[in-house]
Amino acid sequence: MRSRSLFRVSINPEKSIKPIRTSSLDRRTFLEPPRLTKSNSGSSARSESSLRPASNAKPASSLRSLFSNPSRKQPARKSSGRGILDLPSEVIQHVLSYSDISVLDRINFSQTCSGLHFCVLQSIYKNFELKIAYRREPQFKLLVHKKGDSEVFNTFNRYKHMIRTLRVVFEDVTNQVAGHSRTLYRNGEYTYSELELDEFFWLLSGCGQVRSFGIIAPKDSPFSFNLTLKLVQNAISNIPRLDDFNIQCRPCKFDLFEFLDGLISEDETKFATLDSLSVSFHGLLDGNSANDKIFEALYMALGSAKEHITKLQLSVTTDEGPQKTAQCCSLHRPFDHKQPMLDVTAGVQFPRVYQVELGVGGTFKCPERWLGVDYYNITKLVIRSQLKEHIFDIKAYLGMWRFQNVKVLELYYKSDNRDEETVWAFAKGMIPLFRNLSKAKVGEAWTEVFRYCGVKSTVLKMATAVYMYMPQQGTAMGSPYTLRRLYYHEDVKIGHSIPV
Amino acid sequence: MSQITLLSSDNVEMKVDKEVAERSILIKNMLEDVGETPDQAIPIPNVNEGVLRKVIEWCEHHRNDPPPPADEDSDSRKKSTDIEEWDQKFMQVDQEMLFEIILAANYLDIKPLLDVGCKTVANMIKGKSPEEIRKTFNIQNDFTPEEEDQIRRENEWAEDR
Repeated sequence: MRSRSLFRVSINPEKSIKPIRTSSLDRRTFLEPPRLTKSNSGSSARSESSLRPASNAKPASSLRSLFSNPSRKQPARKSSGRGILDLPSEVIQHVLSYSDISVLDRINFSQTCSGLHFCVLQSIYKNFELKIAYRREPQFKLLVHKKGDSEVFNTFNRYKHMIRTLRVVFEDVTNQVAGHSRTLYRNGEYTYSELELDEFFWLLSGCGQVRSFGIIAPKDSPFSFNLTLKLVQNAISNIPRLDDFNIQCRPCKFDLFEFLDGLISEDETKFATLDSLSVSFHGLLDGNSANDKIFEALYMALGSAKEHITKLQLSVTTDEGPQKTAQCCSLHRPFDHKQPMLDVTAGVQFPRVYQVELGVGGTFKCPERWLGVDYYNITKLVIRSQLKEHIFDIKAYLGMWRFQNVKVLELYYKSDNRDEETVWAFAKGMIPLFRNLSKAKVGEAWTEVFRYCGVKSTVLKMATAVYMYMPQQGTAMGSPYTLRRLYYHEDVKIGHSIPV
Repeated sequence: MSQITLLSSDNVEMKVDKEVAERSILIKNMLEDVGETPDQAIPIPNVNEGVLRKVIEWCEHHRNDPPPPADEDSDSRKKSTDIEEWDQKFMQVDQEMLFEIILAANYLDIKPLLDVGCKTVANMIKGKSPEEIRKTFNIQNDFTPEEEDQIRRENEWAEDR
């Protein structure tokens, strides 16, 4: 018989929830900060807090005390005996955060001693992406990738209280698995286990420290997510407040209004501190009136939470081909709720937003109107364009002229070929649109195919340039400003496609 | 060029160009707060002479570097552990000095120097087994065999992600 629970805990609350076993390791990792393994009273005398300046605090008082209080000086020390265990936890996490430090490197590092194990746990669980696979056929099922024994989720349950940022990512593996019902295998081996919905609910419950929550549905999710998302909605009900909320989906495939309304209206205090909202919709079609309905639903469901948001990220993407586009012309169901709908093009929905990120994949007429912001308030604007057109068309498509008070502009786009002169000309052409601009960052990505020893490989190249917009030297105030390139960096990744 | 005096934890005064000292955001903010160049030496109570000299050497070399973009700093995940040649040579010091430099960079809020230090440590970790890492950094294994076994099982989850 298949094991009932992957977590070795009872799913049914009636049957009581057994406390998770607390070993000496658990106690230590939960309670103790990184510690020295060798005795060194000199080095341990310095507390962690004295090492770290408050990054944003103006240290006026500290300066005064430093100038006036020579007694703070420490006695001379010939040898401090400093080692890796003297580094603060956040520095260790910084060390582990580089892109070429592999998961295996982190695991090996965590196995060295308890202090570093704790740091690695923090590093892994602070920002956690929970991948849930699913298959569409023959019957919709959530799945978990099997690796080792069934204790894998016990680990997650043990440490999920550490998670501050949680992304639940749904991955369609229908084409990777074969078989029926309980016989899912790939390459001759059992690869996935079925994940019951109550198990999924239990998995998400108890992440009480999460302040940033996101659901990432696959781009082409061709089925209704309603039931699954209802579970998500209930499972995260014990999170007291959210500062950041993030959703990526095809809105035509589930009842967006029902989901968001249920999430927000049942506990408005949870969203009273919501500072940042990120919404990414796939499968929209330009000119379709359903698009406006989707945004109406979004604004309605957000209710009073809209008042608090200061950072808004919106991404709209069309379908790849005409056949897929046709199926997205209608919503999951008509918005037949009784409340009057909002006119998305009229009025400001997010009065406090000053930072906007707009991503566009496909041609839309004035997508910026869906932002619902007061253009005058926007001081930072980030544009991520996947338009196939020439980069000079971007400003026309996106109505960028509306954002006249922008001080910081970031623009990322795909290009077919590397052409630095074009980028430079583009930056110079764009920037006069913003009379208060002080800094612009332009990033372009392109792919190149090359052959090495007869092997064909794709290379993703990304170039980033940062420009400052400043008065020409030696000229009076009000004279023409000039662009100065501050920073330029090129990144090369082999075998990657272009993310924008 | 105006100069300021820094006072190390072992009471050694060092004169340094204000522009160079201001690579430290801590000192920069202090000086902005005071509003003028102070006559007194600025005590740096957590950094001894040898380490402070190294930090100043780095700041001297990088005095004309543009300030790092703030958003670039906050997401080191995008960056690799590549280090410029001069910085590589600069970091060819014994481990004690390496960690002292990292701690000083963290205290003085010199993000690019902290980054170079962290990259150096990251390069010392890459591709090594737990035992090799312990040997490299002189770490004492304080796990029991049962705990080691438990961690191994836990890591299957992490490896899976």
